[in-house]
Amino acid sequence: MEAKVIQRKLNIFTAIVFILFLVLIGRVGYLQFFFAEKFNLESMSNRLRMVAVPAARGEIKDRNGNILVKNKQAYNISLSLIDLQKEDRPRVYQRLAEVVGIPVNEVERAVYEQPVNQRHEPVIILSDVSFDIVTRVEEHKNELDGVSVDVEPIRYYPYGDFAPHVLGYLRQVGDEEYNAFKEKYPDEQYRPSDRFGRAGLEKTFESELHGLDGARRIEINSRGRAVRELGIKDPTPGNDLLLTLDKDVQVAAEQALVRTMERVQKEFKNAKAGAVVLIDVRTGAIIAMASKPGYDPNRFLKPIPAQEWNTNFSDNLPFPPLLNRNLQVYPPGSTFKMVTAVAALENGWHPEREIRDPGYFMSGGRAFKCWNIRGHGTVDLEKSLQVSCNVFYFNVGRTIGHEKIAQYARAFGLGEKTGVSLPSEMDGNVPDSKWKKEVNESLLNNRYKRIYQQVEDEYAEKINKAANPEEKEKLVKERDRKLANKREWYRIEYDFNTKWQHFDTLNMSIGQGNNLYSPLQLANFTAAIANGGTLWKPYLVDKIIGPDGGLVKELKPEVLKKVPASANNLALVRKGMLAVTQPGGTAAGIFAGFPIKVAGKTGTAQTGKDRDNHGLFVGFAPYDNPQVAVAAIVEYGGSGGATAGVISREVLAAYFKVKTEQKEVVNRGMEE
Amino acid sequence: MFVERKILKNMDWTLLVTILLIISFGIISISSAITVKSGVDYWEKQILWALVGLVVMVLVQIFHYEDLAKGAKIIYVLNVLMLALVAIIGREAKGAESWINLGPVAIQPSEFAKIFVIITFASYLSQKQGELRKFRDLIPCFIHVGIPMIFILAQPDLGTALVFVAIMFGMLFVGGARPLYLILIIIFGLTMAIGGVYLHQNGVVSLPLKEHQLERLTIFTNPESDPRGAGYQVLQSQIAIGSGGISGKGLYKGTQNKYDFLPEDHTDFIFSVIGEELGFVGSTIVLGLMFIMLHRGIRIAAEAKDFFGTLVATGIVSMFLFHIFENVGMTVSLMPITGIPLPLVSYGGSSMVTNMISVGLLLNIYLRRQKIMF
Repeated sequence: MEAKVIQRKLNIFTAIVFILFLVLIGRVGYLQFFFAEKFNLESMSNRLRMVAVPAARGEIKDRNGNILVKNKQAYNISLSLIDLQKEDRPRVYQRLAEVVGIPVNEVERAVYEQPVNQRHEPVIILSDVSFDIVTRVEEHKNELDGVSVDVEPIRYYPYGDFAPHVLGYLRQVGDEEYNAFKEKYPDEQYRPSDRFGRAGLEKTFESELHGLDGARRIEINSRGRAVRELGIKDPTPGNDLLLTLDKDVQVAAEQALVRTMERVQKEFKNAKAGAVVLIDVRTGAIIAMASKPGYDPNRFLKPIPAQEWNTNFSDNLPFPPLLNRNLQVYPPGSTFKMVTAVAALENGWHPEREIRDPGYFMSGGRAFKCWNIRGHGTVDLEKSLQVSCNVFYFNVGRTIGHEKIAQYARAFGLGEKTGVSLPSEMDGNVPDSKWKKEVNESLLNNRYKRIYQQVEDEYAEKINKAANPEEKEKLVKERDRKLANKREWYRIEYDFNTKWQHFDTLNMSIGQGNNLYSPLQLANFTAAIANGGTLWKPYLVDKIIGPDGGLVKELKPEVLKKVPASANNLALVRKGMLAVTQPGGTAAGIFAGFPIKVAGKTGTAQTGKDRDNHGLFVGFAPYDNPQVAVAAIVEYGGSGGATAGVISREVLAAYFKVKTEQKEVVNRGMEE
Repeated sequence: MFVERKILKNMDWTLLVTILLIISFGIISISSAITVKSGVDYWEKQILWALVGLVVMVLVQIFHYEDLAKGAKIIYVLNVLMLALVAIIGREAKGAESWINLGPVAIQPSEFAKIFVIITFASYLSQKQGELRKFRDLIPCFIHVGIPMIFILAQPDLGTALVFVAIMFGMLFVGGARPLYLILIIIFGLTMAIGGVYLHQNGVVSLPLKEHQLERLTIFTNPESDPRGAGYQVLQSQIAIGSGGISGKGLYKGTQNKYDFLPEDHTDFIFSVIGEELGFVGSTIVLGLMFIMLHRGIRIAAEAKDFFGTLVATGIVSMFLFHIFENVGMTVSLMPITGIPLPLVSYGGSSMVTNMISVGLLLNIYLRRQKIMF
């Protein structure tokens, strides 16, 4: 080839090189001249991070300043995989497992289960470990590359399973719940990793307790590691809650529940759940609120495996521990009789009017028995409460009618939420004719829909398989006959189930049937009888104290309503309640020798055919100058006095700081 | 000292000074890029490699480059055997088997294969002088380059394989092939490649490419589509270069680099460090030096005493050109990521030695450009 040709080609080649270089320089210059600012911002957002500095959560103290909930430093053992060469991992896993004393597969699992979007952060292998483990890890530090001990402030419930239903617990929420929360409270500063109050006061007073997180502005590298700190905004700690609760009374209440249930379990093996609440009749302040079984709120700070949840915490358990039974609803049994009594007196029933109780009451050709089949003889209002005479109240019910009783039940706040500052309060139910129709109509309709469908289905198959038209016709007729029969039954059941019946009135007047109220409602209603007719709103938080010790808010007692009953009539009922604890009364044995005059009422609620009755007790003391009202229940515990009565006595003894004899009381599973 | 005087007189001092400047630039950039990496002082090692490279470059001057043409066949066979060996005992790195362990150092035979192919192909083309006008004359050329290339594709190392293509086209162009054919083939090849990838992504055909390779190839068209995955490198590199502005953030002060947002910053993405810390000024200086280097290479091709020399120089320039355009292009999202280093700047022993051999060959050709010498 000629040199000239080669030279020309090389010139073209030079031109191509030149053009390509121009393209490169042009592109670089384009980015650096026109987008310098944009990319500068992006490089800043790459390396600058705001790291939240969690605010210390407010503490919770009882009325005497005892700390019930606080924060403590937890030590976590974590492993940073970035600092650990791949080939060293098995060795470090093995060594770490030995040092902290867990199987090596748990270390591997923790590493494996770390969410993908957190992989740049160290994995927490063990959280909240003992100081002993911390020391051991530090001792073996040179063998444990990538392992570190981090300090994290966590919630601490120093008394463990103590008033968990009041205090509540914290839990880390799932993404879904977090987003819902964020939508509801867009201004609240929460991060997905935060633990929220999920029950009790921790939940209700979340915004007071949580405080305001601070922030550190830091420079990070691509692994999210802090390289340099640029500034800090201090967090504002949360506010403290000062409760109306009295730690000592609460302890006594919980012990009394546990002890009493254990004692009666010999005869009533399902007596495994109960509740007791003590309130101040002058303000509505809750002094003790215990519910068993309980749980240790500390357990909720760490993840709970599904298996453990199902066996220990699930609401599907026979005796679910998370429920605050003071806010669950039960048939009140005879503790309801004061409502019927007040309704009677207010509607002109003479307090000295006497009823003869032969042990039964005839209505509609049926005998309704008193719990004492021998009868109580002649009974006036005071004695009716003292001996809990059903026949007396059957008479009242038939005389004044169920609507009047329902009216007074509502006047005493029964069947509606008290508004106590705890989540998941139930309202319960005051039964009346409207309610009966509403509830039972749909139940009945649904049941019969299924029954009709069953018949249709059964015959549809048969008819399909029928060999000849004659047989088919026969089957169709048979089916129609059957359906007509079922419809007839529906009409009968409809009348019976949706219309208010006489026996409904009778059941209602003695607190059985479809009355459903919570122990807190019962305590509050008893308090209203005690204080002369004022229904206070029960409350738990007395004061909210700021981090500087200053008062943020004082929660003044609140009147819910006044009960439209005369002072005289309420006094008559109180007198009857006093008789209950006096010789001849259903709770006489329990309160014999008790140094303070207690007025009360036992109750035994029927729960169904093959199950033991719930035992209830309500009361107030001192009789002459009432300070506190109590309500207690032991589920499936038999008679009210022997269970709830004893528990109430212990709680009152603790409140008044008096000694009480540990009397055994016979529990016959019925009204005593 | 007759020989020494001759050498000093015929030496291409511009090229020598240029490459020394480029290497120095590279070492300084690497020293910035690796300050956060623990344990290894890459920039010290790079100085060592540069010294090794300089020695090799000097050694290359000893023999007459024309002698290489005589051994072309042996070189060709050795080259293919070496690449076959890699395929059998190669060590895996980032999904590609391209390394051979030789005691303390691992070498990348595909780096050396580029020079071998330049030499053997130059020898082949110089013999066929003037007989490349027809299209069918090109087919043996494709086979010649294609055999070693297939081994490299199989590693799989698409970037280096593409370097072979660039070398081949550069040499064919200067070697006498009709530019029209070459342009048509390039257009055809690009169409096939783009069309193939498109059809592969839409499931019409199935190319023997692994997912990560394909992603790396296509992500530059839209790096924002996967900012934390395949697009991460490109985006971070663009942020680094763009945020450098006109004068840069200052040497050792690049935050993208220092805080490790730039992956592979001492090897494939070394240009991003330069762009971030030294800005447009620094980038232009480096690219300017590169241009001078290539310009000198082309001049050497023009002044070579024989056609073989011209072709070898052309092949070397083509190789450098492709490396530079591809490497810098990928840092600014102009080209797909193929992971080939920036010559004489990126950290790496095999690459440094290969490039210094190439520079040595250029100098050798220039040294012996006069028909009568020694």
